[in-house]
Amino acid sequence: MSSLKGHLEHFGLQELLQTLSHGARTGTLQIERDHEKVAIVFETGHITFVRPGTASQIRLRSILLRCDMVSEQDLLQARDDQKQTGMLLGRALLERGVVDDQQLAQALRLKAEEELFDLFLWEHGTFEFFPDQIDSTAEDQVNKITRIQVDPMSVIIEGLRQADEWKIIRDRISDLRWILIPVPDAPIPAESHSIWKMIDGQRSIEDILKSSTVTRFDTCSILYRFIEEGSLREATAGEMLQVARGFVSKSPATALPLYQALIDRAGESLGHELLDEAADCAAAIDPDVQSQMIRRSAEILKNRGDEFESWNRLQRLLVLCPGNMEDLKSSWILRKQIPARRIDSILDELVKSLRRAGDHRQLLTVLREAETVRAGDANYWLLRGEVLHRCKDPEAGSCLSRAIQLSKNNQPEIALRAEKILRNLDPELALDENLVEKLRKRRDILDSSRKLKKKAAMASLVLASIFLILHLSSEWRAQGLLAAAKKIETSGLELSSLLSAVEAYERVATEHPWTFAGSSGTTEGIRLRRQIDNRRESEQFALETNLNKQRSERIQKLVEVRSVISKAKSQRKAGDATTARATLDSLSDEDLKMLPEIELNSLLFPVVITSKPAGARIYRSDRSFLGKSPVVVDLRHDEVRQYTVERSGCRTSKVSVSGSSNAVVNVSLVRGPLRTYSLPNPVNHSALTGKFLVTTGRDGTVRIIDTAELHPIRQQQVGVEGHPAPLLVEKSNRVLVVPFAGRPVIVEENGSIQTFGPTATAPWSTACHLQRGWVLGDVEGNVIHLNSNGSLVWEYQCKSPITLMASLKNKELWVIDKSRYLHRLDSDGNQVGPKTMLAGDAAQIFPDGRILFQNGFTWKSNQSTPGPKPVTGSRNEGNRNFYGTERGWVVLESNRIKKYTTSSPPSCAPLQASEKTGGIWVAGIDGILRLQQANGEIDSEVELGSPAVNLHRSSNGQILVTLSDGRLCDVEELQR
Amino acid sequence: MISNALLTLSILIGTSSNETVTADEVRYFDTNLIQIQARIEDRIGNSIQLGGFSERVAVSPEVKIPRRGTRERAPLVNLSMLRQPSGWEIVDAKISTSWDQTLSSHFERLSSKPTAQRYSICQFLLRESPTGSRGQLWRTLTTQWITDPIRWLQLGGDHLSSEEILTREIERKNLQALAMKAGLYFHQDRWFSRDQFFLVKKLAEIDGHVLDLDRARLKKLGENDLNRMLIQSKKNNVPGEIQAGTSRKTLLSLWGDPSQVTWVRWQNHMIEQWDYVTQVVRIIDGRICTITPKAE
Repeated sequence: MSSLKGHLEHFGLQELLQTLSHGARTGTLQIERDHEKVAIVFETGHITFVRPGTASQIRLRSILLRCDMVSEQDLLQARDDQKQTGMLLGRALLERGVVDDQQLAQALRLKAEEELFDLFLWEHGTFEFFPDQIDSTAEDQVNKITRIQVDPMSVIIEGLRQADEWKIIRDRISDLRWILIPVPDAPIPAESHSIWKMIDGQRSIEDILKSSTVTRFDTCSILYRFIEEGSLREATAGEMLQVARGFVSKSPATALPLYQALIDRAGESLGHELLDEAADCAAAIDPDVQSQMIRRSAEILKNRGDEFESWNRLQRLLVLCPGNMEDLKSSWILRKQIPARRIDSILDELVKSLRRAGDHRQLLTVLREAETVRAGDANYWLLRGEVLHRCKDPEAGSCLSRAIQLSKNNQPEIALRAEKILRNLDPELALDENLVEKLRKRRDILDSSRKLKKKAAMASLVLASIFLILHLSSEWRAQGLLAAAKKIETSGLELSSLLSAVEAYERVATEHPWTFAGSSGTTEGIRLRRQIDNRRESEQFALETNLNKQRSERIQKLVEVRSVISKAKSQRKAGDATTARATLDSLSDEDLKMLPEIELNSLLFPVVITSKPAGARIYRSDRSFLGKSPVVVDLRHDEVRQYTVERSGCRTSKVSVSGSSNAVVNVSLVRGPLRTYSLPNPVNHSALTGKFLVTTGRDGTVRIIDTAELHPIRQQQVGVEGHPAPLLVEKSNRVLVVPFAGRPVIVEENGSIQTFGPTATAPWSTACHLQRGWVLGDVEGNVIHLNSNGSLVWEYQCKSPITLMASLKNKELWVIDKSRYLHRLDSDGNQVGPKTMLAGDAAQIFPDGRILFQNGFTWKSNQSTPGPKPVTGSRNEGNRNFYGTERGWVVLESNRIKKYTTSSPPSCAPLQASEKTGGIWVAGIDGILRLQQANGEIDSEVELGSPAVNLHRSSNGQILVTLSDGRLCDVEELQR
Repeated sequence: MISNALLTLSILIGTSSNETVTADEVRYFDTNLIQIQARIEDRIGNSIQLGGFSERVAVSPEVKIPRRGTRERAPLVNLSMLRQPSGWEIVDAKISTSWDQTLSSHFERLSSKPTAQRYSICQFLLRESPTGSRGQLWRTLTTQWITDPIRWLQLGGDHLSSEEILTREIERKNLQALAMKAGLYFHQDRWFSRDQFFLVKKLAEIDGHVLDLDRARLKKLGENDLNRMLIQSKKNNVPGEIQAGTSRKTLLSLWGDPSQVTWVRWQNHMIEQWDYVTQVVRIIDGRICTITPKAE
């Protein structure tokens, strides 16, 4: 309930605010002017919220931008939120976290102040104060509006100041929709440059206000000053129109206010052209505005007497605002310009509108005016009678009688209705009962006939629908089949795919003949069949051409093959089997297949059978003698024959040969050793001195074998049975035998055995020669040097078990201990340089100072070279060192490592063969001794039976082999 | 007694070191009172053995040493030690804070210490760090030893011997030559510390002399048990059976050649050890004295 109410003319805003502020009032003050309503909420005399009459978000937006609180992007996103949730812009920004409460309150305060300042310009209006009502609307509660606190007194002072100035400004800037244009050659104001920059002859004042970073009042003040200073002027109507036209296509929303400003300013001189343009512009934005413009344009044209053009615009209006009574009235007035077919509809609509509005007088006028048009229409007379009856006009009777007269035959329901009204009007005027009865019957007949027609129509409709559904269903299935057929067609380019596609198309055509898809199926089927036929034809042609080409090529090739065969035959006849075979080998299997079978069966391929060693006797499978190797056999391409190759001293070998075998088939004959002698115990070490072979084994016995007789001549127990076999060191035809425990012995050149040096105090672990004497190392780290008589020369202590020793070419003695230290000693036992730590466990020291490690690396002068891992001891021959590896053997010469592979890993260090044979003797762990060349070719194989312990070349040129099982054998280097 | 201890503490407070140091650093300080961090390795009676400190340390009767409980390793403790005429005595003990704090506090001290002390701190950190993070810690310590990488490698060898990270870092930084200078051994594609290499190779170092471990044991056996061995070897034996008193020849004929043999001579007796696949046979003067199963 309000406590304060009045008019602004009597009680100004200033007094209102002062009163409410001083009274510390709480409530809502509502101010209203020309449908615009503003609500100001007071809480204990302070303004906490202002609800403006117009949409306020635009202002808040500009304030937020002006204060640089948000970006355009933030506002766009917040607007999206607004659209989705319906929340206020400020709340949306707050929830997005773009602004905080404080910033929003500041912006809202500025907004409220500006809105209040605007109110001071209101010179008329009403106000009403609702005490204790602070939620102006329920919507505010829902939207959780942000409350601010504005002091009304400060608003009053500033508001009054601005109001005074606004009055002056408004004299120059009356319409904010107008455009300002810079005056050419006028001085450009130095200050407020940002606003000056906005004036581009395109923007309206309102646009400038929106974009300005200062308040609306300040912006307008600045613009006012620019105009006063002559820097700016208002655009002329022509310029405005030009700008508006420029905006029509790209931004009609910008153009429309310009047009409206122009229309408002035109006054009496307003022409329909401007209105038409404005209407076109408004079409895209606001149909109501567009209608208003067209209506005004039609009005102007009608006033000017251009009824035709006026009717044209009214026609647009009838479409834009159907049923608008004013438009219909205007159209009816212009009925002379309207084609007859449109008059009826306009009249009907007008009548309907007037009846709905209850304007019977106007309706009667319209009906009377329409008499000329509808004189023969019973319905017209009924309507006119009804209206007249309502208006209690006595003319109603005659109208109704006329309606009865016109309708009694064809439209009995109208006649009956008219009669009813007539009866009400005056029972005297009522029709005869019989006549009424007749009319009723007639109506019933017409009704039943109408119903029948309706039913028939319904039945036809149902049938049509069923037919349509069936047809659609059939069409749908056919379309499915057609799509499948198309898919088949596109799935592959092969003929089979295309044939399948044709079948599918034809199926569509036969199964659904009355459908669109069926018809397409027929067309597509024919097209594809034609395509297939064409393709078949071209393929057939290509095939025939190809066959002819192949045939001619084949004949040519056959001629060539026959000439090669004839050439080979003549070569073979001349005795040159190898060349003949090479000629035949130039023919491929494909070439041979071209030959007729009888011809191929008669073709013989020469194969040379050779043996290693040569001169072996070759027998056929029936034991008939073929000849001594090498022999030549002529065989058919697929004919396989077996031959036996025999040679004295060698194991018999069988070989299968066919025409497709290699031109030369080599048979390697494994021979046996020349002589063999078995010692009673296995052998671990052996050494050759002069004509004697010295062996030791784990039985602790040293045996001296005469190599000429291959028979032991002497033996002596030097070590303990079960201990590791005594070591053997050969030098200058003497062999030092070092037992694991006990006293060493020396085997002289003549085979005699003598004790040598001291008895071991700890197990001897290694020994080597040094100058004319010997050096022994033990597991206690002691190194002793004995001269040739076995007397001690010097001693050295390594403080770690000795693992390896060797004397070098430079007369140094290298000692390696288990801690991996290398001790270099001179010939007098003095240490040379500091001991060196080695990178791994040493396997061998070579005379040139190279160390071979167990992991295969070799080391010399601090340089490591990777190599294969040794699996045997090494043998030194001149500058070359040989040792066995897991895959073969290695020759180490200076820094170069050459690797060779064998079929079986070696069991002992390989032995270089004599210069006559060349190659390397390698005893494999498979018990076969092979003479192998560097290219991997095996020249000779000797079956030993067990892995060899060592290989020696005896003085008579034979290879002496010591086997691990205790056998000794000698092998001829060159087999006789 | 407590008041006496407190009095001593208050008197000595002037000569005490304020910072908490590691057990490995104690030798660098000549103060009478010292705060250390250490792990208790063993306790015998009233004295304890600390990790990284060779001397045994007495425990004051008032002090309660934190127990190991169910922990896998004894806890790291902060100890206050007082120098007594008889040696160091623990006067206060409490469980140390988290390892991360210990690590960061000692790590900060590293840069300000001389090389030897820095090395001791690193030894402590690597020894006491959790096994899983030791490699990473050692790698981090590289920054402390840029000028002396051999020391860094020695630290790695001491604490990460044969571990993959040690080998990987040496290979990656191409420090093989320096690793050998640092006394590391490359064996079976891994880098080993000297001690571990000797263990793998069955070597023992006695008085600066490297010996085969079996040989060293055999020597010791001869030294201690010669008479017993002689008595055993003279036992009558059942022919065809391997037992004490059996001759070497019979052993050979029944069991064949041994895989490894070593012998020592002691007081004119030859003592041998023959290793078979599962048994170790000791022989004195050609007769078996003991047969023992081979240890793994």
